[in-house]
Amino acid sequence: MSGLAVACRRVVHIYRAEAGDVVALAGVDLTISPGEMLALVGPSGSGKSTLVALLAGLMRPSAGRVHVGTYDLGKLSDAEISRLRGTEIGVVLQGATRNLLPYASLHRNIWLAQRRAARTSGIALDDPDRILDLVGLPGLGRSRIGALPPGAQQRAALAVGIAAGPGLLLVDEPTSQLDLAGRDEVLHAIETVNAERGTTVVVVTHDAEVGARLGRAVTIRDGRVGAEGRGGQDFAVVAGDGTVQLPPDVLGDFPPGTLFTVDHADGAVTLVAGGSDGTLAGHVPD
Amino acid sequence: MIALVLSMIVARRVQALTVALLSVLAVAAAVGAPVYLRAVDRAVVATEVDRATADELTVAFTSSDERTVELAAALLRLPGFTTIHAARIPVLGTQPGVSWLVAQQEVCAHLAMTAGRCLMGPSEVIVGSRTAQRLELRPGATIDVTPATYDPQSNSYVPEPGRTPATLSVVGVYRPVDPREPYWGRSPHFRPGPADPLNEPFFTAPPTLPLIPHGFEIRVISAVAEPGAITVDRLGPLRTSLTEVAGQLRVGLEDGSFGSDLDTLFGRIDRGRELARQVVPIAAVPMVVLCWFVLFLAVAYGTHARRHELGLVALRGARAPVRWWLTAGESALVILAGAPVGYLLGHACVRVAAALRLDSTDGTGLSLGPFWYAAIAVAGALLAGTLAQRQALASPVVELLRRVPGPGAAWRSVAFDVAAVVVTAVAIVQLRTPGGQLAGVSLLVPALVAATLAVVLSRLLRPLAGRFGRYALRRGRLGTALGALQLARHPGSQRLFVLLSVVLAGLGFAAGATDVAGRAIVDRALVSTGAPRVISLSTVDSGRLLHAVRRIDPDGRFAMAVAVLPGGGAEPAPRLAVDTARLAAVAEWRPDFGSVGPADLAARLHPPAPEPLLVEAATLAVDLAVLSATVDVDAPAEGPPRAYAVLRPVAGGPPVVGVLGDLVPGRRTYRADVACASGCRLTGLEIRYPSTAWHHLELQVHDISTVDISDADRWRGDSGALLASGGGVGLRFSASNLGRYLTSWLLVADSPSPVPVAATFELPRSFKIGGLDGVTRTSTQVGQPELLPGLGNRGIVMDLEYADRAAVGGTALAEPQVWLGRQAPADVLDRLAAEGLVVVGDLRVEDRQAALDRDAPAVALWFHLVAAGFGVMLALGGIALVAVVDRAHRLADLRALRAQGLSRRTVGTAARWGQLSVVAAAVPCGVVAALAAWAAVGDALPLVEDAALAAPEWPAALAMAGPWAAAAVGFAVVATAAGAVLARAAGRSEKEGRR
Repeated sequence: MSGLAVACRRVVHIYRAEAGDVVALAGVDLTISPGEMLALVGPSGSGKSTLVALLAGLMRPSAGRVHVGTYDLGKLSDAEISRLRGTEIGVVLQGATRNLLPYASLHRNIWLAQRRAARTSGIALDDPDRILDLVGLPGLGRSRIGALPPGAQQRAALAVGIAAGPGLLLVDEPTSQLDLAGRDEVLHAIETVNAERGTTVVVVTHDAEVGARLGRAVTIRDGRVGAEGRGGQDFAVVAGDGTVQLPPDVLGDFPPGTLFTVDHADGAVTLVAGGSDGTLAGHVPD
Repeated sequence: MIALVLSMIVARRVQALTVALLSVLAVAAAVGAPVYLRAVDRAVVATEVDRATADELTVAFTSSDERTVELAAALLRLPGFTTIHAARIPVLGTQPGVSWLVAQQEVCAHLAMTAGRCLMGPSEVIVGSRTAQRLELRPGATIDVTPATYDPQSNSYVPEPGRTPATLSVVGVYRPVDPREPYWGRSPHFRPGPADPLNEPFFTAPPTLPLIPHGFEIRVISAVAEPGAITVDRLGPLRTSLTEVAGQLRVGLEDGSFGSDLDTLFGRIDRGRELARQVVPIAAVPMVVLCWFVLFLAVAYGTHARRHELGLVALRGARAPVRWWLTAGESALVILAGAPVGYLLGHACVRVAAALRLDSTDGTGLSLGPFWYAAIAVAGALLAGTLAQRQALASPVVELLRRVPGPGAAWRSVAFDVAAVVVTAVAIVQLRTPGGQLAGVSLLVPALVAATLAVVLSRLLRPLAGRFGRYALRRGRLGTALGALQLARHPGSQRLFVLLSVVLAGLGFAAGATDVAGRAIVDRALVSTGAPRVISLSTVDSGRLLHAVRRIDPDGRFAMAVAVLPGGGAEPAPRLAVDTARLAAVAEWRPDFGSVGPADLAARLHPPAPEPLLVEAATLAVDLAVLSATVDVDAPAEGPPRAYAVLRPVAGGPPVVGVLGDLVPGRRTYRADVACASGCRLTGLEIRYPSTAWHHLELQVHDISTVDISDADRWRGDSGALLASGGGVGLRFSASNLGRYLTSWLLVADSPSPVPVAATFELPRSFKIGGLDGVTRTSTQVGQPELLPGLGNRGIVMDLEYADRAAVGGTALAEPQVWLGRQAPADVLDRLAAEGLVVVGDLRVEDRQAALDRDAPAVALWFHLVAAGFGVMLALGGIALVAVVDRAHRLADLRALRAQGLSRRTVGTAARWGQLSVVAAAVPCGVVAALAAWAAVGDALPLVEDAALAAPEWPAALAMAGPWAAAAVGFAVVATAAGAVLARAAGRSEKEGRR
């Protein structure tokens, strides 16, 4: 199975809470190519986990579209989404132990994760031992997750996530609470999965290093794509409505309400606060 | 998949064991009820067969045609019954009037010889002890008998024409070993009541009858139930056989009569079984439903704890069957595994219960009979488990994966409450409408009322608890407030409240029903026994009985002579003749007997009457003139009527009959040897006619030696004698046999006439009541109580002393009794024996209570108590279950509060009150629910078989309060213990946190 493309167009998601509605995503535009690895970074509450939950089909967007492969998730029924999660979308929850049944062996957990795909024609499944080899846990099929060190636990969770051979793998905070060695092991496993299977991988993380390692890091801020990092360079991203988020350090100097003139010449866009003479720089209108 | 489910079970062993245990209990309860009913059926049949009369255990075909009887003998075959052949012929020559010569199969085995031996060959007879005494027959004597035939014209038996007397040898004198045994079945022999020739016949060997040429013979084929012939398993085939046999005999053989009272016995058995089937399910069904409910709670709590795991399975896209397996399979497998254990346990528990309560384990063996009940219990348990997990199966994945679960839907909706109320109301209406029976859904009324009330009140529980919690907070009582708020916010509290309330209601209802049934049994035992202790005696003369009882208790404080005279025939009800002077002191009298008290009734039954005329002489001389004697012109020449003086010893005993002699025209002094030197009471003068041909005499008694005849009011005649005048010149009276009697009497009027009687029903005017001698006399009803001691709601009572005085014939009582009051001394039996009275029975009220306690409703009601106890155990388990399940999150709450600075003492109070508040709220609800259930259905519950006597309307308060208090204390102890464990754990967690 090769990787699936992902496309989000003006995705909005609102939670209904007792204190009032919360806008978790305020119009996300995001495109992921098949087989690409991407890190979703951003502060707590920025909407990363919400976006991943939407990509996994666990929730439906309040507005906008979410495409995974050729599927518009908003138009699929619950049963179809369930089938997708069992065959083409793999999810690894935050906290390695939350991904496995504690009383079952790794083999049994992988077997369970493969049930849906096993019943779907046209899908060739890897042997559980092969999957464990892929994530760097050879010969541990009979082990239970409680008996493994933290790094191995996370890789076991990965194994379950890729058990059905999905085209899209969504991983939430795979390196939190791991030491450097553990982190490296996990990232290596993810890279191996991507390299061998071409699986599109989306990783939610606080760790900027993970973003750098994966090659592309999308920053979510205030429910929108704020910036992207590619090849070690940070970029601002034009959203679908034409807005651009300033980097946080820049925003500190130019608070909301600051007026800029936009000069577009020779392929470059220049923002000048307060116009060409700077007379309105830093002016906050009444 | 199975391997995964099994590993789930192993991983959550405690939960699995809990669910398995509940499954075991549910199946055991479902199986226990039908098995217990099966045991009760057997006990009911055994009890009723044990109590059955000989009539009810025998069927008989009677005919005078030999061929008909032979055909009947071939048809009268019932399984388990023995056929007895008998034949009897009327004969003359042994005594005035007819005697009966009876040949009956195996008769010697059922008679005890008091003299001589039993029959061994033809031409031998044995004679009854009373007959032998009366006719002065002994072994070695001979009798000449002539076959007789009934002459309708003369209304008597006459010798068959052309027959010669046959001489038979008397070889023995007999008495029946047990006149009530089934062998005597429907025969007319040894029946209580007036003595007649058939009552104590002459028995002879079967070969004898063919040796005596005779024309008229009555043959009887009887089928007698052997021990074990009538059992639950044989009832159906027996009924079918009986119906077939009866049909064939009644329709095919019209020259005979078929008699059977087996259907009466069957009817009582059916009634007992039906009552048991009404009582047992009332407790059994709620027991099973309770198990399902607690199982629902256990599975629901377990599923709640597994939410993330179930979300994980859904996250992997598992299909519905896989999700179902991994969600419900764990509990389903455990429930199924518990089922066979429950099946066995149910049988075992009933076996123990039957051994304790029924003194027999018949019918409790392992069988497939209750299989479908077990299947229903398992199906219900599976459904309960599935319902408990329905939310997990239906919830979206994201909800299942939430670390902090959402508020969740209410575990039941208003629609459920409304449905519960409607179903309850329908069941009550069905029961209370005219003709309504305790059947179908009505059987569940007590449980429905309790459950509906608990469910409805549980809706008030949380708001009220919340209010109380806030009130306690404002008052600064933090521990209590936290406990109440825990109650208000935790949905599990409502479920526990419902469980405890329903259990307490069931306990109260069972205790109340048992109390009412117990008091009803005591009432019935007292009424049916008549006195705290009733001594039955062997046959004794009524005067002898009166005299002896008055000697052992001269003051009348503790002993009363009683004669039992059965109903049947012309008698509309059983009769008692009692020494009314002691009625108030000895008999048990209840307020519901009526407005007439015992002393008042005694006075009415024993109005003042002239004293007896006493004779203390060896000879009695009667100066009598026969003024005229007229005889029917067609009467045979048989001699004149003969006069007798009849007296009775003052100390009681058979009549002393002195022969005065043939009545000849003219005046003369007639003398009779009476041997009354020690004192006799003069009954009167008897005139015996030689035949029923019409005789009329005009007589005048001038004098009777040692007796004052100046007061004519102290004399009266019977229907054949009319007292014309008295005083001065003596007694002038007319005597006639009216063309049909053999005797006339001039009686001493030392007892009232008409005979004063009291009956529980209205007697017809001029009702004639049978006396101690079997002679009927006109009576007058002086009272109509609702009930009479010893008779219940159907009986007649008269004074024994006056009945004895009024009797002209033999007064040997077939069923004499001595009723003893509570002040009877310990040596009363010795005193009775010293008076020559032979005790054959000693019945105390407690014995009667014990017998009634074996009736179907009583044994079935015991099941209620067992079910109530079972419910209490389930409730205790439920409290523990909720405590264990809630422990984790309550611990977190309490730790957080401690971290905020709440004192350890307050945390301890909050921990204890968490569940204690549920117990405290459930107790009054359970009490109200039990009382409401009793009000709805209490009077319809068949607590005793005999509904003639009203049972108490309401149970005694203490009867219900005691079990409630015990259960409430038990619940409080468990709840407090759980709270103490939690408080200790909170303290321990705090220490660990500080380290």
